[in-house]
Amino acid sequence: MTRLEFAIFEGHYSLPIHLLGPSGPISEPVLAFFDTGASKCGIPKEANKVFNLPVIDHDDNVRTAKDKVGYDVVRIPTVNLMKLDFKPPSTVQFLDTDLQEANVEAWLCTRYIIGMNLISKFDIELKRNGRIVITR
Amino acid sequence: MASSLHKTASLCVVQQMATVQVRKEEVGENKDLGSLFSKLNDKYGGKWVAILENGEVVADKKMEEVYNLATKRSSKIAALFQAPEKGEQLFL
Repeated sequence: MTRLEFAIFEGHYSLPIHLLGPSGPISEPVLAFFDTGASKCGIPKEANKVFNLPVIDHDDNVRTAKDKVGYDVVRIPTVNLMKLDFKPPSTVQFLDTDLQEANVEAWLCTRYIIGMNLISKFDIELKRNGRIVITR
Repeated sequence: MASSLHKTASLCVVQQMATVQVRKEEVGENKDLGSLFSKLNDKYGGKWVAILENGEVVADKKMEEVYNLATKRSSKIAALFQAPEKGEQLFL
């Protein structure tokens, strides 16, 4: 069983993810907000100018904290949750794990977001000490 | 059909590792990951921040410009994140 543990940071959980295609990574490791308030994952519209994932749908009734908006939807071939290691003072290591999910729908919005369509695929434990544990 | 193809593809992906040593002039002496990212946030709040494979850090309000800066420095992006503005509270 793979187990990932992260600390809360700046008031939020930010987890490193890797977007993978059939022949390898389509993104560099990115830090994404863990957001149980989002039905779907999100990737910045700008980033998809590089990834070129085809738009498969449009959700025109997405309720945000501010407003009701519409977002195009893409399908990410695979999202991989990464392990983040740190060796002081400044060496950072991102490592793919076997915690991954295929065919993850994502909105083209303004941030990298891990939404409920991905969160619900894993066992998640929120700890009192501000840590989050992810297993499957 | 498409779904099963993707599933097969994902299982074939070789696991990757990226190791980057961030330049000390960018981040100072850090004891943990939190303090490293805090330093980066203090310096680059409100911007897209890319740690390049050569250890340099580049940032800009526009993500596209971060990719351009990496290209200009002839280095690949090792990791990317959006630094929150100082004191920014999020309600996504």
